[in-house]
Amino acid sequence: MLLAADISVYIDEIIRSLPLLTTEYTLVLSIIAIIVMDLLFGKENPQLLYMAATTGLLVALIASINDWNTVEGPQNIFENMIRVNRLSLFLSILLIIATLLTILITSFEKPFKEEKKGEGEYFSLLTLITLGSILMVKANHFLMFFLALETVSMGSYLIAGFKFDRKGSEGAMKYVLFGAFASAIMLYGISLLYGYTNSFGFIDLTEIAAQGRQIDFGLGFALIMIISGLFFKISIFPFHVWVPDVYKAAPTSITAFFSIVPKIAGLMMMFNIVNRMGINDLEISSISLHLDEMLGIAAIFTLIVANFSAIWQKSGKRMMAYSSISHAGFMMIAILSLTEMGLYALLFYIFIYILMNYGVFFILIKLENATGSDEISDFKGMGKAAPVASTALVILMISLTGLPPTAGFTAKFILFTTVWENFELSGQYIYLFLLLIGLGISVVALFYYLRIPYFMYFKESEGKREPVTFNLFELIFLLFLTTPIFLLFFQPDWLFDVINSINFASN
Amino acid sequence: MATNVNLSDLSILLLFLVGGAIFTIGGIVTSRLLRNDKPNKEKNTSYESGEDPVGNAWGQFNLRFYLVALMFLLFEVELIFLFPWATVFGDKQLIAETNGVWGWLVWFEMMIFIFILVLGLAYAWRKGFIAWEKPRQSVYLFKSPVPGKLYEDFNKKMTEKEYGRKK
Repeated sequence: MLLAADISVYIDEIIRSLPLLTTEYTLVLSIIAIIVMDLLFGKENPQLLYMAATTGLLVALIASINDWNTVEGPQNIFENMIRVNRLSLFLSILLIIATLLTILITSFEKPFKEEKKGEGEYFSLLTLITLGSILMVKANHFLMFFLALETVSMGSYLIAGFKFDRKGSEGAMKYVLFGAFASAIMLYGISLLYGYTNSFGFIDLTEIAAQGRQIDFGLGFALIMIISGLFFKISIFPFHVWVPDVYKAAPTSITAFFSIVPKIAGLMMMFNIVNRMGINDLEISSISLHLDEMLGIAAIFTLIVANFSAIWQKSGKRMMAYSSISHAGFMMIAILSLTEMGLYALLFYIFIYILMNYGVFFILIKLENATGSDEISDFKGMGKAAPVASTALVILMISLTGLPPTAGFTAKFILFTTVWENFELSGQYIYLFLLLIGLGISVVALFYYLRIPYFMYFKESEGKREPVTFNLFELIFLLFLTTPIFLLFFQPDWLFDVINSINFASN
Repeated sequence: MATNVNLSDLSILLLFLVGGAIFTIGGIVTSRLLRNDKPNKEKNTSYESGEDPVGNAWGQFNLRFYLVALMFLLFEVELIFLFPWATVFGDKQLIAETNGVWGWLVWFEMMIFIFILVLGLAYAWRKGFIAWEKPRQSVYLFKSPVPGKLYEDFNKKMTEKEYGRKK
């Protein structure tokens, strides 16, 4: 029987916690509003759903920014289930911005303009995935985390099939099967971890580990299972195989969304698990496996496999899928960092990646609208037909490769500096390997990223298709995405001032 | 005799098991006593949503079964939550000691839950997932020269052949 005294404490805790989740309430309300509107008058004017989704996200953005300005130290709410700090709020803001960009580029996508199918579901699922991702970023408890993760996954499975054709259903089905498998593995890992530590929190395992940071096989196995599930979600080798198929089958704006929003959430959870649970320091004694080496090797293979596969791709979306795997590999390197510079490098990278990714996918959508396919060879002659947009695409591609003068270079530069620092600090060769492979693979990346500009400028259009044209609003949108990429190369401090205000120690 | 029977938690469980068994067996036995007994092949197969229970595993079910099952599950879960909720919700002592905050909090939580479930039902309703397509019935006008008695005899004979002489 519950005791009255306990209940009062619980209630006080809940009442204390309630005001700190305004972003989430806004998103929940907007999901409900979208569904209700869809039921009442979705058929007559679907434009309304658009506006409802955008408004809901804008209000959520304002709520997040407000929290960002008011919340000082970390706040553990709902019995330590959720932790609100400046890091999670910063990421919430990024997630909401990414979703807003998704909705913006959705409006250009042809099937949605013409078919008007399932728009209520589309926008409510989009908002739902954002909600799940935000909760995942804020989770401080494995059950909360798993719940949020499943919210993201369920929404993603459904929204991946929104092309409503055979390929789309196939991609969605593959995603469901792989995803359910990964979730099950992860859940089993969580249950084993609970058995070992008697806690669902992200407790520091180095404290319960034996001398020499050694843990036994069972606990190590549990950790590996949890990490494998996360690897699936953020598409790290060897759990990346679903990515190209699903990304190719999904609507293009959703592909852009998938490569950002659920991925950021997964990466942040990875960061939480690796850093707060001290996984970097652990060694599974019976098979003498250092977990940081395992993670590092996974990152190295991710980079190699993704980049070498990307070379062979003919479809722009598949190439971008491999590109997103490769970037996940780079972000994984940042997570492995031992110092707080790693977090800053990760946040900088994420921010730049959002800009680059949405720019490229926006142009891919325009190309798909004009030609009906996303083959890289369809870029032929675009350099003449749409000079401004082509220039923007060249900048984006250079930035994705990581060459100056773009912020993509800055992001990679900070990342590699961090890795070098780690190598000097710890003397472990895995960091040196990460650095060398990361640098070497950028050369491979150059090859496939610059194939698109090559087709745009040096190949003539075959004249059988309409050239891609951009109107003024679309050019302004592209400018809005590419200008920061330039500016942040010359003035990275503008972003760093914001990121630095996140207090690493209090996370 | 003073009846002060103390049941342990497990014996309550046992009571439920026994009660459940009595109700199930009672139902079967009663219907056995009251019903007509005219078996045929179709009737004797186990009911599997209108499908053959034995056969190819790749056979397709009507998709609507899944939708109905989902919706059923929706409210099944609601019910499961509502029962324990109802006992805790009305705890006078808890309400008194928290100045009524307890009651309001728990009430709002459940109302949000029910609202979302009802929204799900409204969604399914409005989108037409509940509407079960009725088979179009048309009267088939055909006068058979064979008398009806012959058909009945034939059916009876076939049934006996199929299932042996049951009675």
